[in-house]
Amino acid sequence: MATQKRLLIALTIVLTFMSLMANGAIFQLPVADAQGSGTIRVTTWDSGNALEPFTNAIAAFEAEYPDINVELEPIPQEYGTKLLAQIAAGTAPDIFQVGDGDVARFAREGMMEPLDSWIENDPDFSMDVFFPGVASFGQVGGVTYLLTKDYSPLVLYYNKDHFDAAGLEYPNPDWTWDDLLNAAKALTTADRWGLMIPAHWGDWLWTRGILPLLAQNGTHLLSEDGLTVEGIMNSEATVEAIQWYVDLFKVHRVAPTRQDVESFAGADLFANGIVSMVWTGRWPLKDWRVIDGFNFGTMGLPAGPAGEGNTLCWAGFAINAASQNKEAAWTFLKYIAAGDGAKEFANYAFTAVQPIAEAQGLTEDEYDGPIIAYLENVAPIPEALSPYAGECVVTPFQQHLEKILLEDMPVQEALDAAAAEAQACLDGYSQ
Amino acid sequence: MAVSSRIQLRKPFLTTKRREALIFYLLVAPWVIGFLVFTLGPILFSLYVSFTQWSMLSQPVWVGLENYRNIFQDPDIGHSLGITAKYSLASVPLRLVVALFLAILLNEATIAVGLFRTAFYLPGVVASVSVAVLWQWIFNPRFGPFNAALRLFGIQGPSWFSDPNWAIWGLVIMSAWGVGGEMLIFLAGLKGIPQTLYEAAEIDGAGRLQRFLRITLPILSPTIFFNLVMSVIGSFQTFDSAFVISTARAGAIGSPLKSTLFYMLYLYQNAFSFLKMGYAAAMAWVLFIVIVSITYLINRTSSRWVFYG
Amino acid sequence: MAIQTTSRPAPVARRREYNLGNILHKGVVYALLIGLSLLFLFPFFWMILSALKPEHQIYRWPPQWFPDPIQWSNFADVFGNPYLPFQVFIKNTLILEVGMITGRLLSCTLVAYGFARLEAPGRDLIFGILLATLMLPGAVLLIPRFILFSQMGWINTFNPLIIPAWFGEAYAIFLMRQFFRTIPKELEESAIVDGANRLQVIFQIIVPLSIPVVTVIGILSFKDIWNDFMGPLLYLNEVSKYTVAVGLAYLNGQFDTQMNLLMAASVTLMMPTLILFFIAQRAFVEGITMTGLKG
Repeated sequence: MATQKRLLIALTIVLTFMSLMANGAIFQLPVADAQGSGTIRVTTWDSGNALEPFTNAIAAFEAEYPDINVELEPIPQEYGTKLLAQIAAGTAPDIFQVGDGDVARFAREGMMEPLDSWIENDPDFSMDVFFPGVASFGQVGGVTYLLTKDYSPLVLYYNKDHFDAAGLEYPNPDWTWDDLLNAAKALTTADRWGLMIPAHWGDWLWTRGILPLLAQNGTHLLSEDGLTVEGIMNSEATVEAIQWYVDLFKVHRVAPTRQDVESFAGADLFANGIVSMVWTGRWPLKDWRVIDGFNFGTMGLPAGPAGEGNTLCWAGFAINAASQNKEAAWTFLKYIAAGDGAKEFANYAFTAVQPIAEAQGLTEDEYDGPIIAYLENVAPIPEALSPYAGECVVTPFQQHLEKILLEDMPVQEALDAAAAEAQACLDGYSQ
Repeated sequence: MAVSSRIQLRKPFLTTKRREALIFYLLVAPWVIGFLVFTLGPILFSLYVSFTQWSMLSQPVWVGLENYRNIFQDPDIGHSLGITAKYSLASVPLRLVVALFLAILLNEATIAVGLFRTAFYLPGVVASVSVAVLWQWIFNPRFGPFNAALRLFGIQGPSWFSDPNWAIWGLVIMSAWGVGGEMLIFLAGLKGIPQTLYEAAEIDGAGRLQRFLRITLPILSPTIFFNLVMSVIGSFQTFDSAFVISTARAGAIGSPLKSTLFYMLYLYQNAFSFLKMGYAAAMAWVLFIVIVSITYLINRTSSRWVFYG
Repeated sequence: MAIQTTSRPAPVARRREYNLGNILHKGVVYALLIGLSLLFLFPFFWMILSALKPEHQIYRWPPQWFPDPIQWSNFADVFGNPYLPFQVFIKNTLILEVGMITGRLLSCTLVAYGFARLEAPGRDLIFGILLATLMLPGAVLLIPRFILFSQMGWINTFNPLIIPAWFGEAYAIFLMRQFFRTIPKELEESAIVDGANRLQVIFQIIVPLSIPVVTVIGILSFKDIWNDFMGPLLYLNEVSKYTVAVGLAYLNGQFDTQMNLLMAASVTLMMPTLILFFIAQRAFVEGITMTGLKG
């Protein structure tokens, strides 16, 4: 009897405690009206006028949420170094910007707050507003860690005057590699190249710009699980695509080599009519569209033997997993990624928010329309497939591609060597 | 009697020698304290890190000597050390000669010398970003001033920074342009040479070259020693110019074909691109030993050619 | 033994120099000086020209030497930009300059004198350690040092930059030591016999005789602090605390460089250093120069 009584009392005490704790836990959970308060620190690598969307968005946000104070800490250069130092010292900002190349690495090391429970518990927020292909760049293994800041696919720009003078038809959505090569050949003259690829600044090892060619030939640099390179980086399809790329410089001579580009010492080759087509990101568009009388157009990339393919250059915002003020950070994050703050960023770069893009009339825009029409078939970048891709995959690939381009190493031989090196490096990490 | 006993009393405690030592410790105390507080901790930490795997995002993991073992198996270590040594061998003498030559020229001049000094010092003031842009333009193969000058002599210049055989020599030439600091130090040294020595030598019939060899060089030798040691240390840690030039337009570090993959560039790449801080720290300690050895050798020879007053 | 110091090299036997050989020599010297200084100044002209161009002219082909039209507004764009408060950056930089140079000159003089002149057990070992600190690549100390300063609570203050400067700097100590060692010992020995203490010796005998090298250290420090980018970038978080070098980086961002504005800012912000240099370098002429030992 006494034991029973004692048990009952103990049970009551335990239950009371548990319900108190549960209450506490509920208060801790992100609920709809928990907006948070206090000060949050936000960092970005943007600088100069690119800070304008930040300052505008922060001012509007602080007016709407007077309890939250946002401090912007821009890092104009050496962003990664300073962020690493802050992380190592435990003083990283509450919200930081992450480039596509670091997403998998940061996720693996637990630097970023997983956002799924925040998203689920927030009735005001839905992932449906984003372009799906774009939002996937902020996810690792099905978990959302980041919301998109901005992005750019690869685009084909063409000089309409050159096409008219050569009597060629403008590029169209049905273009293939052959159409691109034939046009490039027809446009190449003694003092002009038909095509600049894969970047408008002349870095012919820029792997991100070469990646669409692999996607268009149904291949990649490594497997989807991020563990295998052997048989993929040196597969028949990859060798074929790289051979096609290298031949542009060495056989057809329709594209300026790195030395050619360097001999122009930073001149803008496309705007000066020295190349007729450029394969690059969206960034130079804002400069080119304001040049008087510059008659050019944009088009999605041509299809390869395996169909269409592209990739993105992408940046997103994450909440620091060690943040002391995640409520306020989440409130600000959704404001700049999907709310009114996102409109400010949309004026500066491509927005991932579909309603904002529609309201901007992007799909109708003469230049942006053709670009934004091709956001499907976006291949993941190597760095998203493996946290060690920068070191293990991209670096050996670039080094051997340079040997092909400068030392005439056969493509198959070079990629075999690169794949072996890359595989050994990846295997070293998976042990 | 009283005087001598007082001296005997003081002797065991504050001999001239001890007094001097005490003053020495007091004078160098600021640096020693600063070293203990601000530098020793980070140095020991980096030594510890060199025995770990550390991504800086999580805690270091002890791996013992693995990083050092990997260094000896990594072909890029030898390669980058070779490039760095080649660069140092070429640029250190070149920089010293150019700096000394400019300083002597300035020392000879009497009119508008302040303007000339400012002109020679100017490159050191230009921020490194602008320097990189500028030199890519100067070494431009087609219309850059450097190759244009070579063309006057009928020489077809190479394409410098995009040619794997020439990129490093472009950097060597570039380094000779920014010798303002060394030049000033030489100038300060030249100002300390007593004019009367030259006059005496001139009366004895010594020519300019003899005066230079017998008076200027010996008296300047501590300054030369300083500039030599600091240039060697600096050139083995070359980073800025190579980094900016090799990544300015083509993204790959050390391009073309790793021809400008300086040791510090490779270290930086490991530390901040690959997040292998443990490996980078081990690399830093290996470089430290290399530089210490070279400096030690230079110091060993110094008793033969450095003369203090 | 007597030492004679004057403010200018005595014009002894100047007249003797007017022979053909000397005139020829002077001619060669000046020809070289003019030629070489044009070579060294040339990049500066190029920067000024770029600073006056509209951005698209910088990237034009064929290259355009002279700006057309001259775009003075580049300077207004840089120095009137609300995101780039250069007056604040300059103020911060000057605070660092004064705080760091004062500390460095004072502490380095004392430490260098100790190494140059005094005998004590362990002296060479300590000096060896001092030199060794220059030989370990700073890149691996960056993060440990950041952690240290953040534990001290010094992040986002000028402390991590100014306070260590008061504890000496290896490069300047080494340089001063080299110069102090060339000063004849007899000078101080006679002063000590006359009853001067070491501090008096340092500040009344050694420092006046070392004006050129002290000036050099001042000039080089000024330039290094003015151009230092990594230190302020790491340790300071707020834009209102940033320095000139960090401000310049805003025009040369990670992905976006406005070359004409960058050049306009660079050229303008080089001026303080150059003007200061032009004034300070007179120390090489007017500083007290030893004219020799007699006796």
